[in-house]
Amino acid sequence: MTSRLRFLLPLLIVLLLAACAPRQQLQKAGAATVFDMQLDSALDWSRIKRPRFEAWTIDGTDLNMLRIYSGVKANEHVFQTVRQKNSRPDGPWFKPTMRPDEVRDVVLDALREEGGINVEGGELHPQRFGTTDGLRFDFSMTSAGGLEYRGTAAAAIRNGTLTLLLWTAPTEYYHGRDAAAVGQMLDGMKFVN
Amino acid sequence: MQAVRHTGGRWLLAATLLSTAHAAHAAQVPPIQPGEKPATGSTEAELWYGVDQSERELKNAPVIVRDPALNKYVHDVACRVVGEYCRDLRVYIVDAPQFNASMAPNGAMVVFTGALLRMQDESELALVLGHEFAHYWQRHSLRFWSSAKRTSAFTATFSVMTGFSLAGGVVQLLGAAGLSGFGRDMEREADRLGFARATGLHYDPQAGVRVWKRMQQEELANKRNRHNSVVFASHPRTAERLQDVTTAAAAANVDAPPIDHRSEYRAAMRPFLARWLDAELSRRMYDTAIQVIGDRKAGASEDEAGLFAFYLAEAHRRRGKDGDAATAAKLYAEAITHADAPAAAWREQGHVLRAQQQPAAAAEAFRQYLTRAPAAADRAFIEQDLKALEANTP
Repeated sequence: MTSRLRFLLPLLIVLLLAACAPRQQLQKAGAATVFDMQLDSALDWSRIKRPRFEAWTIDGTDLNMLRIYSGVKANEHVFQTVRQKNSRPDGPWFKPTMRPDEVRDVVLDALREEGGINVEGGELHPQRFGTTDGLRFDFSMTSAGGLEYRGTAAAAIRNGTLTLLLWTAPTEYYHGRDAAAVGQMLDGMKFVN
Repeated sequence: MQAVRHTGGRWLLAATLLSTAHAAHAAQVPPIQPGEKPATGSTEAELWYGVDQSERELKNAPVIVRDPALNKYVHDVACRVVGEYCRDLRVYIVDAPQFNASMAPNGAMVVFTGALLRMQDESELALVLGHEFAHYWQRHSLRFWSSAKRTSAFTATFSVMTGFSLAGGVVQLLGAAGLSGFGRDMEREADRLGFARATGLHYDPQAGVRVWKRMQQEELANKRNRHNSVVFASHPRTAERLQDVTTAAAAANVDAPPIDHRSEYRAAMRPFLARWLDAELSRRMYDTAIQVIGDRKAGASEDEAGLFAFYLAEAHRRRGKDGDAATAAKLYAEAITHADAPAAAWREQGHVLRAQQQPAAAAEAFRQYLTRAPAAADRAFIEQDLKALEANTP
């Protein structure tokens, strides 16, 4: 490594980290544009932004979290953590040819991989997001510590990539409080371009 | 007993520590006696204290399988194998798809559902439980603890070794980097003593040969292992243990017909097979799943044949390599000829027939699915498919 590179490397790392650092903002109830989607929420959220991922929460991510993954590519982990490769052949990789039930299953498997226990899928049904066909499903799971969660998800495959919205909240109080509003928000999601 | 694949350096560290610990202390630690508890203030009491806390958490953990009939069956087999030590042991069945079992120094024995899925009769279970009991009996944890507790890496290494944390909390029970076993010498000692316990009760001496052959085949099928082959360097290799158990089985003095209690084992496991097979597929390790499920299918009884044919088909379909679709199609067709086939076998048969441009037959298969699973979670999508097929049917 040349001395100039050695000098520039820390600066480059700082710049890269700054570019990747999440940004946070308050998202008041109403319409919001998120990546290539429009969401209309009746709730206020704290919105944490990353390049292809956002996390929305009201009371903290352990108590309610809407995860929004945009542009999940072929052979990429559905939660965008890693990509499939020869030394890592097995995992919840997204494939653009997946059927609706396979999209549900790969998301549930990713939740299991994260440590979710007794992860169970609920009703799966078609949903139209603007002019794009997609799917909605519910699920339940237990955290490693024993806290029971319920959730709902919306997903669509568009231009070969996956868009996934995944909301989870503890069954006790938080899920029941916001489930209807979140369900309406996901049902009404539209792609805007 | 452990067959979970490990990554990273912790296992190698554990093995290094264990090899020295074992050499120094093996002769100084007598086997534990029935009903024996550690003396107050002793090193062993210190060891048990931490693990007791861990066990209290495990008891309430959501991963524990609480079905009374299954627990009774496994506990009864364990008690037969450990004999006079039965009151000193607690058996926990952990809902995790890996082939694994473990033993804590205080008598807490853990068996993964992935192990119960892979084993095929009671003699195999007895051998595995006998192996785990031998770790307790010979105080393998104490041997390690006595030598290594002053090292900074000890606490983490102990957790990896037993799956239990000394500061309370159950660790690593679910992860692929979970239990790493007790090291080469102690694992071989446990193999030998477990075999003697099981065969002493007239369990089939060939059980270990079957278990280790199966494990070897699963290892060979696991592509990930080929990229991480170093991690088993300090553990008795499966081939080596298979050789040992084959030699022991050949030399076993069989003075009565060996017992395997195959039907009892299968009756106890049958209610959980579909759930465990779903869990096996959820690992998305399809090369391994094909090996495991194929092995079960080969030895399936009539009341399991449809189930294993369906899940083997699913493993092929989901893997999606060349030829897998055709293999899956054959297996779905086979599955639905058996009375125990899951309803989903008809759904998949419908998808196959639709892809083969047979809309009428595909529609009939989907109708069969909905009839057999009226509350199917994906009903709305199947009805949508049915409508499209009916529109295309002359």
